[in-house]
Amino acid sequence: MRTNGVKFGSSLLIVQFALLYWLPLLLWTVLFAPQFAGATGESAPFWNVLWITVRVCFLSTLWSVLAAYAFLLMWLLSRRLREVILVIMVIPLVIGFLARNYAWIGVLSTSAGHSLMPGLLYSELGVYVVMSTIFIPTAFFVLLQGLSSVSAEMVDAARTLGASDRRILWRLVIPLTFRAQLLAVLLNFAVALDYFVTPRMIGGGKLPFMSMIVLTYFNTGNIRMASLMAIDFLLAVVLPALGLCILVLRRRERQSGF
Amino acid sequence: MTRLKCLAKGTPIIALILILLGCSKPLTVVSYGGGSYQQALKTSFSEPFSRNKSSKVQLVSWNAVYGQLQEMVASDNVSWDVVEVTAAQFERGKRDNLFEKLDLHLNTADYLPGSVDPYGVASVYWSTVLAYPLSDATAGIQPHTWSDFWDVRKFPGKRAMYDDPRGNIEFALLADGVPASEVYAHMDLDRAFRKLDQIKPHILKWWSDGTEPIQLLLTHQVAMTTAWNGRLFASKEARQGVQYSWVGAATDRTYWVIPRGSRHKQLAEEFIEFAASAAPLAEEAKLVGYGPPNLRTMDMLDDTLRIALPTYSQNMAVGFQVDTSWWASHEEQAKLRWLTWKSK
Repeated sequence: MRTNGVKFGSSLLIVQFALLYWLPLLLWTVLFAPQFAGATGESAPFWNVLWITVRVCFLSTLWSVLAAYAFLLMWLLSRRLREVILVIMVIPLVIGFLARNYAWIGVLSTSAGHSLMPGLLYSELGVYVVMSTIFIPTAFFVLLQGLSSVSAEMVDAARTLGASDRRILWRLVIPLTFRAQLLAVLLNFAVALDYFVTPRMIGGGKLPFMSMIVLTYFNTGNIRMASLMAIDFLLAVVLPALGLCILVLRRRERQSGF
Repeated sequence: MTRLKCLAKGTPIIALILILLGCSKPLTVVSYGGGSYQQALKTSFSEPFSRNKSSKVQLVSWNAVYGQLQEMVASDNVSWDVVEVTAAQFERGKRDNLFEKLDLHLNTADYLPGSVDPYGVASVYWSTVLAYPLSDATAGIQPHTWSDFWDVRKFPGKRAMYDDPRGNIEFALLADGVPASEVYAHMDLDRAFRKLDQIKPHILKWWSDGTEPIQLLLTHQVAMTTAWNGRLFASKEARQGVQYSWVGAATDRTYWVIPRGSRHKQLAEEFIEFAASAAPLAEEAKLVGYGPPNLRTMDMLDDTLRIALPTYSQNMAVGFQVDTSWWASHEEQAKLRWLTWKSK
């Protein structure tokens, strides 16, 4: 009975979203399709910049989740490390963007031979490093929450049955935190897409993001094109991502029941 | 209950404060650019003006995002009284009917041509120049022209440029041998971008903040960069460690305007008149190194300062003036092409 109620409620929510939000968006896009064609033609920056944005955001998100896993394992391995990890995770959250960017420029700077990582500043790789470190705390806390679905009894049982640590990690921890992984990737990816200052400062202006196109139109007073670009960007990224997520979750549900 | 009483007693007081705040609403002056420039505006314009007129002036900074101003006027919710806009925005704003017509008493003969307009008055002239670090290596031959900037064999090392087509397109054409007087007459974007292709692999950074080129030069990360003359002027470190050339420098100007629907039009006009008069402009020039539009101001300054300004006649003679009407009609096209070109 309860599940029926939940299902009914959620479908109502989806219908409401579709009517009030997605439908007007689609209508708007169709109405301005000719302008969209002009703005996405061969000489226009749309597709190139979209590709750069998605590439950089996806890879740095992925990196951040992988790194968060490393911290999660440390968290599990030693109680003493937990306090240190907590401090490491919270500090970046309370530092402003600009301060953090300039600090990174200082760290990556090659002047006077003090650079810790030469050649990273003003390059795409540098953007990956900086952006993924920004996203590690969010990914870490989401994964930590997801870890609650791995009970100590399960791990003990696996141990008793003679499973190695590696086997426990691959067959138990990672599959059980799957939803948390997906959530961490999605959350960070959505935030990353909006980025503007960090890729510009760390990437030395060589990696234009979608927000640059929107800003360019807004800067020249072409607000209609600015909002059109923003909406098209949203659709171009969110719709495939949504589809992919549903697909992956369905597949997993069929396979393992989680 | 006591809390409720307190609230009841407090309400009229709060209301009174709000009313008073509403009455003495200051004149809001919005300038383009922050840091040292804003500080200079404060000491040379807003503070003496508010002393004379006994009305408060609130200084705000904006990033010259045209859409923001456009929306403000269109929604008839104009909280800004005086706004500093770029020259290209000034041209476009006049076409879009965004500004109030001014009723000023200025002697046009005292000003550089084009500085006084029925809809606005030029605030400062600023230049984008070719800058390089002052070191032993550059003591012998020094770069002067944009051809030198492009010549990585003669002047090896990384380069940096402003992350915007404004100026860079003109520099590319000058480097390609187009005379300064013909840059806009036969504007050839294809040719400009072909020339930019040559320098692209040598660019370390497309900078977006005015302090970045100075930092890049002082840390010897680049051998040459474009830079705004005012930032070089205002930085003590740059004055000691950076040299720059006025040859082929792009000089542009900004304008004071009153957005249509301003609540304090008369006071705003008085402010613009004050900011265009000779003495306050001299004060400002001493602090920021941007050129005053008022010719009488130039006579009030000593020689060392005068030759460092974009409006000094010999600096203007070797550089060029940015054609604002070309940029007003081609800004969007050029900027989008710039993004496409960079993303390839």
